[in-house]
Amino acid sequence: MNTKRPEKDILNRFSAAEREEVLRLWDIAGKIGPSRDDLPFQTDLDSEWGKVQQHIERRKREGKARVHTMPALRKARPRPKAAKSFTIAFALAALILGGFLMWYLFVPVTVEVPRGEFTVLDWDDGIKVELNSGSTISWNRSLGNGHRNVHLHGEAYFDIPSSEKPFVVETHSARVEVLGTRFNVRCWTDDPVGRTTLALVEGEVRLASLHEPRHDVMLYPGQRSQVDINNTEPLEPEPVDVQQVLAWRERGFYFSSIPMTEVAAELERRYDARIAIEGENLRNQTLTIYLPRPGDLENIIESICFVSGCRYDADDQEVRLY
Amino acid sequence: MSTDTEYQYWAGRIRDSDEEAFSDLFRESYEPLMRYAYSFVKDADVAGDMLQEVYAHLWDIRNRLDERKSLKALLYRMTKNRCINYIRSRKSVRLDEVPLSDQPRVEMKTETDKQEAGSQLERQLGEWIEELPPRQREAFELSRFEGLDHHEIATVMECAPRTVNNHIVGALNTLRKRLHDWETERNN
Repeated sequence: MNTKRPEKDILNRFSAAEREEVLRLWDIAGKIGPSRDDLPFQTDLDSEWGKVQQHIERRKREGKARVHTMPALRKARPRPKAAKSFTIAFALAALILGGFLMWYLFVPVTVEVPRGEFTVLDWDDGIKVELNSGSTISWNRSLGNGHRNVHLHGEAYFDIPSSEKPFVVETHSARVEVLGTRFNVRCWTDDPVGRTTLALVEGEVRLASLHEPRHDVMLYPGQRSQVDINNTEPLEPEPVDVQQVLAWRERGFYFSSIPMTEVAAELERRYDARIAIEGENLRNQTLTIYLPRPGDLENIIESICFVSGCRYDADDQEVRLY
Repeated sequence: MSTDTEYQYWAGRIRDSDEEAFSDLFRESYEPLMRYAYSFVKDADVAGDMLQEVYAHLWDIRNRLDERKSLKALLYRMTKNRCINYIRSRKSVRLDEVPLSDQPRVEMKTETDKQEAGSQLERQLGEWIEELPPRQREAFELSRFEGLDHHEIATVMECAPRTVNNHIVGALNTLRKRLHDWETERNN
């Protein structure tokens, strides 16, 4: 085990110089490994195996007992009783099947993307949804239009092929209805006003407040609009650089006048890290930055500090901005 | 025969209720699993109980074993799940119930000869590994210390092998950085 090298696809992720360090670390770690072999107590393999054997023997006796009693039972029991028990079993099976069917039809399917990961959902009808780290999407298998009617918390990019049937996204503050288009929805639950931001890549989209569905606005490609829980109707659509909005799909970042706290929340989700911002001023400061290929967390933090004039220190628990 | 193919061979035999194969598997896997269980529950008796449950359960479900699926990964996952359930069920128990002196502690062997620079680095590395983010640490330890391959780790951690890769690369990057800092500091 100790002579084993890291797997190839790990090593391939490092440059030649880095690879040397990785191998060295791997080697030293191997020397720590054996010290872990010394448990701070003794284990008695034979007596432990004895207990496992007892279990096996017990199972054997139970198995034999079962085989032994079954023919006797069958003989002793008159037919009607057997039929009755069969009826009961049948009823039970039907009940379980029915329960499962109800569950299948009415309990929504939920997909939760862990922090630090991305998920793509692909349906047979060509609908494709890409989900950013930390997002949740759910839909009902039977009610409404099945997966053509989804509920979103977080950020997702939707690619909906043209169809007669509408596709609907609901967030905590907005309702988006489309026929066939590509668009990005962003709606994080930790946003204080429950804002939903919609940016359109292709096609046409109707955006409405969740509570006032009649006051909707129409978006055209290259536009974005917003609605939050306090609005009765969405903001007038404005032009936006779609490529920047979709930076997250390529693992990049795009922030436009975004408060530092929100930037931190986004980084926490993406890197499964903790980021603390110290000082009211810094927390309220907004940030505009576009990082198409950000690299690791420290790289980004450095860029952010460069742009906003703050400083940082980092340990393995959290990053502190001040 | 490498241990991995050995495990898969055992899986087939155990499915056919071969007690000898089961005993071989037990003797090969018990200590590594003991270490693994102990790393969760930090108590020798409890870890032993967990493993008894794991092997008993494995025997009960033997007819569902599949040679094409890693038996080793299955054992690790069963152990991990049981330990985590145990820890969860214990959460409600007050911590001060157990006197500190009775709580077992793992001593790193390297602490005894800390004079040497080499072993000092080993000790450092041990600390850095402990300070890694939990998922990275788990992936790294399963790979380096338990010798599981990425598909097996993915089964144990219930995620995609690609994610395992990312965790290990992340861990190695952090460790490299810490090694750099440590060596620069020593050279000044």
